[in-house]
Amino acid sequence: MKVIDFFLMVCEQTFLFYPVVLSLYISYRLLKLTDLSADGVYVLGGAVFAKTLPFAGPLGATCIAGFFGILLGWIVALMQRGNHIRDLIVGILVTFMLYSVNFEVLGRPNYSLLGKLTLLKAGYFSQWIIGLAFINIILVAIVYLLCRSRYGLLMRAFGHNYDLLIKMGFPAERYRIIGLSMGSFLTAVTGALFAQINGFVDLNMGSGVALIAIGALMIGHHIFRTKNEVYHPGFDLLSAFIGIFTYFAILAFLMKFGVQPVHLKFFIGLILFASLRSSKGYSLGVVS
Amino acid sequence: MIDLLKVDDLTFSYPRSIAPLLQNFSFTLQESEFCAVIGQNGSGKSTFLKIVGNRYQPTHGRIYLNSIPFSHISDIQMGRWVISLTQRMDQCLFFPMTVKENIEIWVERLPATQRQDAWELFEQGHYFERLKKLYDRVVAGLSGGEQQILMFSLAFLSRPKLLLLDEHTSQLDPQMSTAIMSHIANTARERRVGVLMVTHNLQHALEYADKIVIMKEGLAPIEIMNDHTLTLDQLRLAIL
Repeated sequence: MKVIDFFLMVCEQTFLFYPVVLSLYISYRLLKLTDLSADGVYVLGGAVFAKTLPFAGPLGATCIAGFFGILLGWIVALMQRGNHIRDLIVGILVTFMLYSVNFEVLGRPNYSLLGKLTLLKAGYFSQWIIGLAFINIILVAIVYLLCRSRYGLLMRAFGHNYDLLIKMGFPAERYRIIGLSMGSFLTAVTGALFAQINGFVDLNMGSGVALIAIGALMIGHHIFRTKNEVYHPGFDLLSAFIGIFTYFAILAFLMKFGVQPVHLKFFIGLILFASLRSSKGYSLGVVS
Repeated sequence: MIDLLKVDDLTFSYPRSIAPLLQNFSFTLQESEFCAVIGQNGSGKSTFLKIVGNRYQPTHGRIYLNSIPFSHISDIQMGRWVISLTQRMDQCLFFPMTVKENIEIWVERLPATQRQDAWELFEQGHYFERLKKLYDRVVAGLSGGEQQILMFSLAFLSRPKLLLLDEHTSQLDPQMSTAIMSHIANTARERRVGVLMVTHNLQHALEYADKIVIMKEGLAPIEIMNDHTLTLDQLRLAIL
């Protein structure tokens, strides 16, 4: 495989996953909530897309998938409300429950979309990688603007000191709802994009998605670590992109060197463990 | 004079405690009035402050702010009217964020129409020039004194009605502690803010308070007006 082909392949995978990293960036980095519901929401996005495609068309079905993502984010925020149940447990619980919901939506464990007209094959773009890059640019611009806005500032305040925000009279739960809904929107849209490009939806396709996204944030942070503690969203979003790109590049190298697909999870786990370990402060939410 | 804070027949017991910590205690604080609450450890000073700060619910009795019962004031309104500051500055500031971001958050808590005025008020403030130099510094990296200056400049920004201070100067050197106390006393008087301060520093109580509440475990609190004829020794004896 030529270097350029290798680079393009990694880029494709990166573009196809980066919105999920953005989603986890909002929950994990801004709100300091470990929201693992992304695993279930990712599948839900794909499932809703597959079932609504016949009557809504590719663009409409992607939007409907995004809407269901917002709805799920709102439900997760309500379940976490007041921190009565730990964010981690809520995420696991929601993913557990979504397995049944996703099955009901799909009607079977997997669903083929081969031969169907999708957003990236509908003539909007000459090549789907350009379409994906375009969608990524729009989504990253939205997240950047959110981070720069007053809501972004207050979401970070929520993550740093929830109790103080409440004490100061801010409607803190509103920021949780906005952040998690936005994050779930991104995840569901990514699930829909994945379904369109790969031509299928599978009940298990979301397994490990949240973990990979958090790992990508760690890898990016590790590569782009600076002594400057001042927050720069542009720098952070770029570091998240570098993180997920590096992750897929390592994955591609492993496969190129003959690692069996069935063994990949073990090696991916090792990579994530190493990045978690090396960014200890970040993973604990200590480092700003 | 207007009763800013009125505590009416307050009784408070911690769950599973034998005797109430505070019993049938009535108290008033007027606009611009500075009250020091002193007493030995365990006498109920900080508990009293937490009840007035709406963090603990009284077992019996009612509390009014500007003649409105606490139960009729929303959490958001309460957060704007009553500012509670302690020696734990991480409970009052967003440590991993910059000074400028902290100011922006405190301004954000105001209604949109008052935000511009708040910025102007801040820029006219006593410590503005000093804080301006620290704008892009992360709060966690500031010295204790700088954090206190920021904290008190922010506290007055939102035009609170009542300021609750819980041993806020206990970790500062005497010079900084005096500077902060003067700043609070002057600004509170100028802006007609009532101050309720729990302190172990009797000198501060004598110097800045208009009245002093002495708390003793198991006894009713004693309230005395500070006409500046009181001496330090008299106060020391009173709290024993």
